[in-house]
Amino acid sequence: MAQNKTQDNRAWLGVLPVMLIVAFSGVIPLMTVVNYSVQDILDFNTRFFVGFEWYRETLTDPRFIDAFLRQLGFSAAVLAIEIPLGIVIARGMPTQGLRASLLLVLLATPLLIPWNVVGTIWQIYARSDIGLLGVTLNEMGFAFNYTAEPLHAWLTLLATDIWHWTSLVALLAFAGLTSVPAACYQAAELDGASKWQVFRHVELPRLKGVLVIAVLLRLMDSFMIYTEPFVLTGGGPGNTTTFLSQYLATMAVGQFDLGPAAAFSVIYFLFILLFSWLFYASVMRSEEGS
Amino acid sequence: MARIRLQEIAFTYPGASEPTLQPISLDIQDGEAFSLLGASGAGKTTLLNLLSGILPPTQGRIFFDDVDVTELPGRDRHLAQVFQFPVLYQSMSVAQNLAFPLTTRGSTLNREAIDKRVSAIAKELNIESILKRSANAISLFEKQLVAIGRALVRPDVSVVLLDEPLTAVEPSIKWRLRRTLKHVQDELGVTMIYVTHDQTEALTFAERVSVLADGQILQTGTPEAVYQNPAHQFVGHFLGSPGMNFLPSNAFPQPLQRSFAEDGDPETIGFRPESAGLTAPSEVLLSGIVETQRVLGTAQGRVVSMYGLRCGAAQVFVRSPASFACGDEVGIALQRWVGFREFLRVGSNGAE
Amino acid sequence: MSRRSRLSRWVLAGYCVYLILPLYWLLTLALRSNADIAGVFELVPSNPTLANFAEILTNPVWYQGFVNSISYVLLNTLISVSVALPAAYVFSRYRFLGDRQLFFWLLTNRMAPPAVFLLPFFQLYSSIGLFDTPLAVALAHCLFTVPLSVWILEGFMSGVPTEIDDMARIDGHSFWFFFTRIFLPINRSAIGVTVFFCFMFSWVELLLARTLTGSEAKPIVVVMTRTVSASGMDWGVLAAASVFTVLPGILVVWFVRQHLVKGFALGRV
Repeated sequence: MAQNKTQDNRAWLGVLPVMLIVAFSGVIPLMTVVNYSVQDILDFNTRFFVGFEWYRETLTDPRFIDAFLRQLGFSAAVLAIEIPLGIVIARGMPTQGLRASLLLVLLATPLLIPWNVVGTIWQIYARSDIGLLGVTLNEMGFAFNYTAEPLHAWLTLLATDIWHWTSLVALLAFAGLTSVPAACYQAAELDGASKWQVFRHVELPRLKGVLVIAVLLRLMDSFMIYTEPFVLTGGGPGNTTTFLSQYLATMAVGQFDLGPAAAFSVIYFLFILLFSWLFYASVMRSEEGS
Repeated sequence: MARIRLQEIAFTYPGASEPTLQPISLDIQDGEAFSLLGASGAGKTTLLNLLSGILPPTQGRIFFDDVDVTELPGRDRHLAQVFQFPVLYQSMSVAQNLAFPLTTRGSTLNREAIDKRVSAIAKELNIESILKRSANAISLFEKQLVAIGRALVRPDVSVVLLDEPLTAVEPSIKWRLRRTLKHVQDELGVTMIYVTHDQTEALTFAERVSVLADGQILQTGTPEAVYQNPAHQFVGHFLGSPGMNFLPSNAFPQPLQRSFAEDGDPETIGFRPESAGLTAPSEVLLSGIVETQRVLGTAQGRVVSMYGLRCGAAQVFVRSPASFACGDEVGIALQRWVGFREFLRVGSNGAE
Repeated sequence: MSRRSRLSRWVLAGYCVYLILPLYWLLTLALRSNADIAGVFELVPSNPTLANFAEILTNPVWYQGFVNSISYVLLNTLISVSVALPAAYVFSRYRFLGDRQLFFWLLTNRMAPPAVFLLPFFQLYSSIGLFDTPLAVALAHCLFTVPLSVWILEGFMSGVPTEIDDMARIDGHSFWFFFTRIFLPINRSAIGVTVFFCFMFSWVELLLARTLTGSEAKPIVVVMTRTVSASGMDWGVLAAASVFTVLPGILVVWFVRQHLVKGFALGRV
C-alpha cells in the first residue's frame, strides 16, 4: 500500500458498499453455517443444540480423513509439477512481437474455460473409446482406462489440472521476469555466471514475490477443486478421486446432513484461512522488503 | 589491465537509415582514466555496448592489448561494468557479491585466495564493516560501492566500464563516491572508461576526455585542453556553465580583427566568461550593454558577478569583479580567445 | 540475452502442443456426427458437419443457457467493479480505523471454498425470492469477485502518485469530477484487468451457478451437464457447446493481453 496516506475515518464511506455486499453474500451465509454446525436438524422446525459433537464426529470420520489425505496428496503433486514447469515455460517466452501475443493468448485460454468444460474436454480427450489420448495409449499397448483404474484416474486428473492451471504460474512468472532489469543479466554475463547461476541469483530472487502468490493460489485453489473431478471421474473409481469439496457437496446437497456438513464447512474454511493468513503475511513482508 | 584500441568502429541499427555511431578511432592507454562525455543521444551508450560486447560493430575492429576481441562475447573479454543503478545479487551477502566473479568460469582460486582478494578490495573501498550484511540491507551509496568493488575484484580484469555510476546516488554524497573511484583508480591502476553527461564528473575524473555528439567524437584530450582549446564550437558550448561565448569575428573592432587575421583569419571567435574583463567602453574594445547581473560570490574581498551583455544581435556572458548596473555600456577586454573556421549555431543537443 | 535458454524454449513448445491437442480434438468432435464419432477413430474429420453447431444455435434450451450465463456474468462484473472502485480508492489513499483488518477480512473471502456456501446460499436466496434468477448467481459470485476486484484495483491505484489528487484539488475540481474524469481514466488498464478477472471467475464457475438456478435461469455450463445425462452421450453436441464456451474467453484475453502482464506483475490476482 502507498506510503503517504492521510488518516481519515470518513474513508469508511468508501468501503461501505463493499462491506454491505460482502456481508450479504458472505457473513450471513457463514453465520448460518456456524449456526447449523452446533445443532442437530431433523427438519426445519425440530432442532437440538449439540455443541461440538459434529466437529468431533467430522474430525474422526475415516471418510473425511481419507478425503483430506487424498486432497493433501493431490495438492502436493500439483504444486510439485506446476510451479517448476511454469517457471521454465515463462523463461522460454518471447517478450515482444506477434508470436508473444499469440502465446500469451494461448496460455491464458485454459484459465477462461468453464471448469466443467475443462472436465468435458479432457473426458473426450482421454476416453479409451473416442479420445485421442486414450485411444492412442491403447494402440501403443497401454491398457489405459481412467474410469476403471484408480492410478489412471489420478494421472488423468493431474494431467487435467496441469493443463488447466500451469498457465497461471507461467504468466505470473513471466510477468515477474519482465521486471528484471536488463543490466542485471548483463552484469551476470560479464561476471561469467553460468545459466544456472543467472537463474539462481538473478531471476529467482526477483521472482520471489510472484512465486509466493503462485504457490499459495495453486495450493488454495487445488484444495477447493470440485468441478473437474466431478465431470471427469465423478469421484471414482470407488472413492479414489473424491476430494474435500465433493465430499462436502454430497453431504450437504445430496444427503442433506445439515449439521455435519456445516461442521465440515467450518473446519474446511479454517484450514484455508490458515493458508490465506500465510499468504497475506508473506505478501506484506515482501512488499516491505522491496 | 589492458590498452584499448578502437579502429574505425561504426554502428548502425539494423533498418535505421542514419548511423548511430560514425567511424570512431580511439586509443586508450593501459591504466588510464578515460572519460566519454556527451549529451544523451550522443551515442555514448552505444559505444559502451560495443565495448562490452552486447552489440557487434557494423564495421571496424576492437583490440584489447593487440588482441582482436571484435568477435568475442562479452564474458570472454574480461571486462567489468558498473551501471547507473547498483546491480547486485540480492540474495547474497556483500562478501558473497564481491567473491562471485572470482568463483565463475572454472576459477582455480582457492577459498583462501578469494577471501584475501575480497578483503583487499573491501579495504580499498572502505566497506569492510558491511561485508557480512545482506546486499539488500545496505544504503544505495553502499550498494554502488559494492558494485564498484565487484567490478574491480578480478585481478585479470582488462577494463572497467562505468556507465553514469553516480546517477542513483544522492547529490550530497556524489563527491564521496567520485573521490573513492578516483582513489582506487590511482591505487590499482585499472583502465577505466567513465561514461557521463556531467562535465564536472568527466573533467575531474579523467586523464583524457572524449567529447561525443551526434555519434562522432568531436575532440579527445586532457580536461584542460578540451576546456581551454575546444576543437569544435560544440565542445566549447557544451563545457562550462555557462558555455563559451561565440561572436562572428567581424563584430569586433578593427584593431582586434587585424590581430585575428594574423592568426589564421577565423570566422568565429570564442571566449569563455572567465577569460574576459569588463572595463569602461573604448574604441579598441568589444562593447556591450549590461542586461543581467547575478552575484556569484566573493573572491579576494571583491564581489564577483556574472554579467549578461548584449553585443549587437548576440548575448554573451562575462564573469567579472567590476561593478556595473543594468543598462550600462561597457568594454569587454578579451584575455584569451579561440578562433573557429566557420560560424555554427550551436544548440544544447549537439552540433548542427 | 541468456534468459531464453534452449531447454526452456523446447519445454514451451512441448507445452503448447500439450495445450492445443485437447482443444483440437474438441473441435474435430464438434464437427462430426454422433454415429461417426462412435463408429470410426480418425485424426482429421472426413465428413465434417456443422449440424452440432446448428443444434446449439436453434435449440432454445442451449442458446437460452448462453443468454443466462452472459447476463449473470455482466451483472456480476458491473456490481463488482462499481462497488470495488471507491473501496480500492480509499484503501490506496487513506488510513482509517481498522483498515488493515478489513482488507484482510475481504481477502479471506477469496479463499473461501464455494462448496461451504452451497447450502446457506440456497436457503438465503430462496427465502428472499431470488432463487433461479441471474441476479442470485451474480450476487453469490460477488463474494469472490468483489474482494478480488478491490485487491487488484488497490494494487494499481497505490502506484498512482497522490500528487495527482492534490493537483486536482488545487485546480479547484470537485472530488466527483476528479474521480470520474481524471482518476478513472488513469486507471483504465486496472479496470481492464479487473473486468478480466471478474469475467474469468464468474464465467468458469459451476458449483454455485448450478445450485442457485432451477429451470428458468439455467446457465450454459449447467445445461451441458444436465442435457448430457438426460439424452445419453451426445458427444458431438457437447463438444460444439464446449467450443462456444471457449470462444468468449479467447476474445476477452485478446483484448486485455497488454494489461494482463502488468496486472500479473503486481502479483494481484
